Amino acid sequence: MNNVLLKIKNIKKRYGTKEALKGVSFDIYKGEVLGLLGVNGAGKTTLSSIIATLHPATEGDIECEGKSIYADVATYRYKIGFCPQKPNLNPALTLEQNLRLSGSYYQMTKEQIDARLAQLVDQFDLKEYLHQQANVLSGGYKQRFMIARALMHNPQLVILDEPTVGLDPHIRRQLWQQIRELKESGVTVILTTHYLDEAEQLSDRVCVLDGGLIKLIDTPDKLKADFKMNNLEDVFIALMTNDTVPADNS
Amino acid sequence: MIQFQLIIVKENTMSKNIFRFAPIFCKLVATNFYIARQELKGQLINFYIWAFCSLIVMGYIMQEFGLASDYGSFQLATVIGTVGLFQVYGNSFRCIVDFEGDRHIGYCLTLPVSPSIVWWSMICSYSLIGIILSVLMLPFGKLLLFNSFSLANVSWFKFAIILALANIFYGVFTLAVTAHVGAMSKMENVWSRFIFPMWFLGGFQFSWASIYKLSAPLAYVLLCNPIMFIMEGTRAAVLGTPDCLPWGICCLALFGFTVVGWLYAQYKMKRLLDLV
Repeated sequence: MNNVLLKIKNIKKRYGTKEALKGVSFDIYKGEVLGLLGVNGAGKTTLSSIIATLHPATEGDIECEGKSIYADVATYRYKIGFCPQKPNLNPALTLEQNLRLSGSYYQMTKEQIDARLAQLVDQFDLKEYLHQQANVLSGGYKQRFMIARALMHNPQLVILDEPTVGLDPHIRRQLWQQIRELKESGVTVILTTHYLDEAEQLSDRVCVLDGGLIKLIDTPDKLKADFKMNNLEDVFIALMTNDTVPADNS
Repeated sequence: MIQFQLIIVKENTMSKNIFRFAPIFCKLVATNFYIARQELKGQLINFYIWAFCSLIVMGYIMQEFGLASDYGSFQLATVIGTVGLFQVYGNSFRCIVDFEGDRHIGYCLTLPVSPSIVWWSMICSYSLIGIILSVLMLPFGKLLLFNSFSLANVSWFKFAIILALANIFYGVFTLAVTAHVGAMSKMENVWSRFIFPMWFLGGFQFSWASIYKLSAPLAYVLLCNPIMFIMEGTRAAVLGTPDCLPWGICCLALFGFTVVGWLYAQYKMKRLLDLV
């Protein structure tokens, strides 16, 4: 299929004797928002950090536009932006310096950095804190800066690992809007989340992980229809408690 | 076997792209240096206090107890060589705090460069700070010792080379120790198990020749300690005394220790942080 951006092929991850991922395979399409769902320890963060090349897979491969990402990790990293669960902005630098440095690490010119910075500051409403250091920010602003930094070099794919965890409801809604805008601008998003309402609102498809395996992967509407339920949360609970998988998804 | 081949392919691809990574490497060094220089003034004051105490005691007071009159200048050369070693603990501590805390390093490790580039950018910035602090000890020592220490004996070329090699070694050693220790709960081991014995048995207060006179086997055992080569090499460059180990041998040995330390640090870091 032409619009496949990433092909995840039988990814396994072992930590000693514990198997965090037991062979995960799926495709990620260009321009979609893919929600990665699962209970704690399901393997969501492990999978997203492998896709971000922060950690290696024990077995399996990932292909980006038909080529293994491990053949040239550096080139692949130009195509992705990673926003980890825990904000890791450099506390010794101002937020503007953090963003500018991010652009320069990806070898953008000064003009490109200026233009992109202005665009992101406007998009994420960051002007007020631009000259402050990261430790003075609230959780919501930290997350906005984290997403802005991940987007600085115009990546094709953004991996957001639980971007709204611990945020106030209204801040979460603001971030949702910004994730929708990302999708509208053509960026592919992998969204790891615990919040099923968030996944339902934002995702084109959701991938439910359980015990290191994919339990289901489909659109939220299709899942609700298959399970004859009104929302994704009910589907998820049914999946986790009854181990029910509709025939056409198994 | 397949996985092993995959790792080899990854490493080869990364190493072939070294020139492609150079601009990012320079940016990383500049950033690390920019952050580290914010603490430079405080570190300089700390080292000046330490050097002042060492040189006053060894250069003046201990002479009343029969110590040689040129022991102050002997001590100054070793103080210069030791500055980088005393930074190892602080730098290692900051690394571990980051690994167990905000993991800013995680961002650097997803940049479009290999992890080795990130580690070498850290080593270079540690080394630059170490070199600056070490060089600044020289005029301070001259002020304190005045006529007991002559700048005319300093071989500036040898001094520059040994200082660069010593501080690069200290940078690599910082990473090796950090990767070996791996956790904040074991940080106290860094001083008592690594830095203190290496420093105390590394010729801070004695020359290798004096130990050789005392016990040749012990002297050869002490050559396993890289600090001995730093002290002897620095003394050869700063004091120009003939009874030091040959300066060239000290440089070669330090280069060897740096290579071994780097291989160990790289291997342990890869395991500790589970890197691609």
